[in-house]
Amino acid sequence: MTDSQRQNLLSHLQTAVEIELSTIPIYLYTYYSINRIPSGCDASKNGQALATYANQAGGLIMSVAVEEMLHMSLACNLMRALGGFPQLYGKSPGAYPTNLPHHKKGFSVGLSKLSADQLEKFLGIEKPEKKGAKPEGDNWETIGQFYDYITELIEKETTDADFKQEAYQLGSGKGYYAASNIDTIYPKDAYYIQQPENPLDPAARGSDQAVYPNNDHSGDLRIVKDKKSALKAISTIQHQGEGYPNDPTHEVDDPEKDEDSHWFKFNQLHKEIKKFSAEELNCFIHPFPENPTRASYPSQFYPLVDLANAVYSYLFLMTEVSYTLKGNAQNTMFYIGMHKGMIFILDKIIGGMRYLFLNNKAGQALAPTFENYQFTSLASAKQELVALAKSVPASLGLDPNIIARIEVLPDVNVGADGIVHF
Amino acid sequence: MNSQNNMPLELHACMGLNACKAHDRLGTNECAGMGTCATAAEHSCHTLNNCRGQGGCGLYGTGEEQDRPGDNPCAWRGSCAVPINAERFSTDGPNQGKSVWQRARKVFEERMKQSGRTFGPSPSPVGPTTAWLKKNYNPDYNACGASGMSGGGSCI
Repeated sequence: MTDSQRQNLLSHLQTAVEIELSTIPIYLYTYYSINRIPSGCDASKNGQALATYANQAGGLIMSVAVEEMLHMSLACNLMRALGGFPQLYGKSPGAYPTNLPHHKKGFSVGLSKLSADQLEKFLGIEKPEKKGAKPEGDNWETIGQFYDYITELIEKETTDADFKQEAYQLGSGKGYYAASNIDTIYPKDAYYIQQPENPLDPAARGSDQAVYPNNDHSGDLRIVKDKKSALKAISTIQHQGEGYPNDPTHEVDDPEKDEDSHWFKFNQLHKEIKKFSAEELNCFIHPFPENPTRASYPSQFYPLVDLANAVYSYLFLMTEVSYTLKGNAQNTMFYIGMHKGMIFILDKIIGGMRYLFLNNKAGQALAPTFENYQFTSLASAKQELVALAKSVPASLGLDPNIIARIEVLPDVNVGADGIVHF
Repeated sequence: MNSQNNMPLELHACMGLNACKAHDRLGTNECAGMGTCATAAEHSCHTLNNCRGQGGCGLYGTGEEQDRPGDNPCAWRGSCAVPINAERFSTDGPNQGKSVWQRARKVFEERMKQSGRTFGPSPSPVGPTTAWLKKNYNPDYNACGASGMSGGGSCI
C-alpha cells in the first residue's frame, strides 16, 4: 500500500478506536445505575422478577462493555500492525449527550440510568446493518457499514507485508482478556440464594443458576500479522455487535450459536423492562442524574469526582502506553494496571459514590461523569493521581484500600531502561 | 511464621492446601493437606495477592488462570480472593461452573504427588463454607463480584 493509503486506513482505524471507546462510558454509566443485588424489591409483588431482572441487566450490560474493550483493543492492534500509534488518552467523548464519532447527524446518546429509553439508545448503537447496505467510511449509519468500509480498504489496498509490526500489540495468552467473569454472569433466578446449600456440593447452588452471556470462542484478543488476521479482527467486532451475518434475527454472534449479539442482548432487556412500572424499577435503580458534569455537582464532591475522572483517564493512559511497550514491560503495565485499575479502583470508587446524595429536590445520587482528566504531564501523572486520592476528604468515604491500590498502579512514565515502576 | 517454633510457613490459599505439618493459620495441623485455614494474607480479589501461591481464583482472570487456583506464579497474578469459600465456582476456563476449592485441592494434591509427599484429608471435603469462614476466620469475610454469585458477597 502507498503511504497515503496507509495514513487513510490508520485514520479510519483511529476513528474505530474512538467509536468503541465512546461506547464504554455510556454503557458503564447505565451499568452503575443498577443495584444488582437489591434488597429493596422484596416488598414488591414482582420482587423476585425485579431482582432477577436487575442482576440480568447488570450482567448483560457488563458482558457487552467487556467486549467493547476487546473491540477497542483489536482496533488498536490493527493500527500497531500497520505501524501506527493508537490514541486513547483524552479521546473519551468528554461531554454528553454525544453522537458517535463520524456517525451521521441525528443520533445522540448520553449518560443515563437504566430505562427503556436508554436501552433504545443502546439498540441504536448496535443497530445491525441492512443486507446489501453500502460501506460508509464517514457519516455512517451503522457500525457494521463503517467496518465494511475498513474491510474494503484492507482487501483492496493491503498485502500481508503491510501488517508487520507484531511486537507491541496486545496478544492472547497473556491474561489480558477474559470473556467471562463474576461481573458478566448472572443467575437465572435471583432468589436462588434463599435455597439451602447442598452440604456435599456448596458450589452447586450458584453454579446451577449461572448464565454466562459471553463465550471465549466468539472472539478473543489476537495479534494482527497479515490480511487474514486483520479481517478476522474486524469480523469479530462486527459479529459480536450486530450478530452473525447468516442469522437474519441477529440473535447470535457465532456459528455455534453459543453467544448472543450485543443488539440481541439489549433487545431482550428492552422487551423485559416494559413489564415493570417506573416505580417498581426504582427499587434497584440508583437515582442517577442525566448527563452530569463535575461543574453540575456541589463543590464538596469535586475531590471524589476528580479522582474518578483521573482514574478513568489513567486507564486509557496505561493502555496507550502499553502499546508502546513489549514483553514483560507491557505485561506489567497492562495486566497489573488494567485489572487493578478497572476492577478494584474505578469500580470501587464509583460503587461508593452511588451512595452519596446531592441533597437536591430530585433526591439524586452522585454518579460518575466520565470526563477526560488532563494530567499536568505524563511524567508526573502517577504522582498526580496519588495526590488526588490522598486529597479526598474523609467525609466522602473513600476506602483506604483504594488509595493503597492507586499507590501501586504502574507508573506510565517508563524510562529509557524499559522498566515499569510502581 | 509459626508462632510455636518460628519456622517460616509455606503460604497457601485455603483449608486443606497446606504443604507441611503445622502449616495452617493455627499451626496445629498434623499433616500436609489437613490444615484448617490459609496462611496467605487474606485479600479480596484478582491481582490483590502479594505473593506466589496466594491467588484464590475463580471470579476474574482468564480460563487458564482460573484453572490453577492457589498456584499463581507471582505477586499480583492470583485470580481471586483468599480464603476460597466452598460456594465459589469458576467463571471461565475448563473448570467453569465447578467448585474452585475442589479444583485448588486437586492442583495441590498433584503438586504433593509430584514432590513425593504424603498428605492427609482436608478437614472438609468441600472446603470452608462462607458461614464457617465468618464464624471461625473473619466475621467480615467476603469475596468479590457485583453479581453476588461468589457466595461470599461483594468486596471493597
